[in-house]
Amino acid sequence: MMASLRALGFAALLGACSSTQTLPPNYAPARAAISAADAVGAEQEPRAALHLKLARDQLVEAQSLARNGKSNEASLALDCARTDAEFALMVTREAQARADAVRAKQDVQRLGNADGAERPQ
Amino acid sequence: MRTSFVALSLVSLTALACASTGPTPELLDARRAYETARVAPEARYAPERVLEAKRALERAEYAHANEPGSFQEKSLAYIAGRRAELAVVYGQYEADRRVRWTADAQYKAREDVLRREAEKNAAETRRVLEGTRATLGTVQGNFGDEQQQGRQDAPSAESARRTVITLDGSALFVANKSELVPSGRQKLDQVAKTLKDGTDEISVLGHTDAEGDGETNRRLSQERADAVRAYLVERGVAPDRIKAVGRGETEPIVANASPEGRAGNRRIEIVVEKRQAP
Repeated sequence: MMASLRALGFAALLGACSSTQTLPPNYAPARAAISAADAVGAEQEPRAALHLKLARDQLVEAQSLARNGKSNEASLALDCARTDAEFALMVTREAQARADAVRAKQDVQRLGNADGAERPQ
Repeated sequence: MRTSFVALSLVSLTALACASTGPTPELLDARRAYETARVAPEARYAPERVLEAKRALERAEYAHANEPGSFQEKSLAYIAGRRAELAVVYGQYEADRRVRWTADAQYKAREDVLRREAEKNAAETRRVLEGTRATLGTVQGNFGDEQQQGRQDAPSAESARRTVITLDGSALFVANKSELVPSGRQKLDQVAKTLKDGTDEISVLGHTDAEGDGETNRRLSQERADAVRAYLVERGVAPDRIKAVGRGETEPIVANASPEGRAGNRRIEIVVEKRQAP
């Protein structure tokens, strides 16, 4: 009887441990999206930094939900985190592309001015 | 009383039902975000992203229909709203890239024009430079020709200043002697007549052929020169203007190999040089 109770307790403990450690399959993509946004410099772009923070917060929330056995909610939170991370990434890239475009236009203008300066009136 | 209670209960239940079945703020935001993305000018660069946002919104609407106000509805609406914003940002990103491509193309085109102009200017400069070099070469050539002409003119001037009268030795002297023959005297008479009134310096140079001893030839040439000088002085040429020099066989004008050549080398040269101004 005691042995059965011990086995039941061990099984319950094992189940509890597995429920706290198992994360939804979309955890890795969300994590990767956050890393990608971080890599392109989202922290340096205010709007992107905000969404990167949201993504990280949702990742933590997803882990918490998973620990509490709310795997569906955890999965949805991870999708939100991934979406925010992707948004942060795109905002950063857009800011960089905009800066490049401005610089390219300035180069064209400078070339035109230099050309004009070389020509006598 | 009973009727009032029932009516109040119905109103409360209806209000509760409406509150529970209305879209969540997240869904409302998602709808607005999607509409914004759908009509945004940048969206034309991101049609696939707009479509993704639409599908995300449809999933949120579906969740709202099935389980209004649920965590799933809120999450899917949140995702839909973010996808819509993402579509706009992506469209802006593509627009930025197109602006950059256009600017780069303009820059390259302008650079090509400037390069072609620079090459054209360089070619023109080279052409002018080559023309200048050619002109310079011509000028230098002309200058060289003039210098050469000047050098050629110099002997002429020298010739004008110096006159050489060459007389055949055979026509003046007896063979191997310094004695003048009568025909020789007549020739010298003409020379004396020409020279006696002038002030030019006169050198009488005697030359022989290469036959015989060199010293003998030199002495003979000197004696013949002396004879001519003496005759010219006799005919009125001032003695201080005239000198006699025997050159012997040292200055042949033709080869001594033939009798004709030797006859040509036996000669008297009367060199008349104008006195140079002091």
